[in-house]
Amino acid sequence: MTTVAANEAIFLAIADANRRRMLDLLAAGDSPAQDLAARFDISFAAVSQHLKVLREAGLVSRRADGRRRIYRLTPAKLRVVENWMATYRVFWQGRLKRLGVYLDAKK
Amino acid sequence: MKIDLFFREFFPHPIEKVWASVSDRTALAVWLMENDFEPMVGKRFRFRHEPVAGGRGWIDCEVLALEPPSRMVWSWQSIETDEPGRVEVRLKTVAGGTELTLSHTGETDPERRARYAFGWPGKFADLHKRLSSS
Repeated sequence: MTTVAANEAIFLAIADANRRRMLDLLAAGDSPAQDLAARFDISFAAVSQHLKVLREAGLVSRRADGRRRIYRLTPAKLRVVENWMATYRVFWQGRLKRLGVYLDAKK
Repeated sequence: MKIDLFFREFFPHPIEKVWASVSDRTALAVWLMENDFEPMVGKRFRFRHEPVAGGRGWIDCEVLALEPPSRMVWSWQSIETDEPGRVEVRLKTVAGGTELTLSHTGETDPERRARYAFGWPGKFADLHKRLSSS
């Protein structure tokens, strides 16, 4: 995956309310897929599908414990979302600096 | 996802001069972006920027409040499908000059944002370069 595609996968992953809630639940600790599914009104298959999207975006990891699949939050990639916010921050900081230069030049 | 940004800047210039630079089309074109702004509540205007990958190249705005020389509010819509954000500029006379505060707030839909978010960094990279070289 290119960087852009990888980043896009992260934004798409967090675009869904169920998936955001899964991330919130996993933030409290690792959890088997079944336990997560029990917290949602959607089918187990749908929960699995959501977890797959999160896993492919790199936001959760999965390990086997016997027959169970344990999911863990791997939040490092959420930094991409922070960086997106930072672009706005940098934009305004840069423009305000430019305003200062403009004012100083216009004695 | 929520944008919630807040900036505070000091300028060693009188408030009238700073106000003139934030409420004038020509001045805004120099320090912010090309535009067809007019200082009039209800005026819809547009900031234009280099179209970047995935972006449309302009921001639709409306003057929501105008209280010379101390306060101005714009709606700020960079993507058609998002609810407009809100940009508020406040000026206040302080010792030796003017304090400007700017807030940029609003909600955005991350799914749609995903298609646009990656055009900006290139533009900002240039800005970074400019800033670090000055």
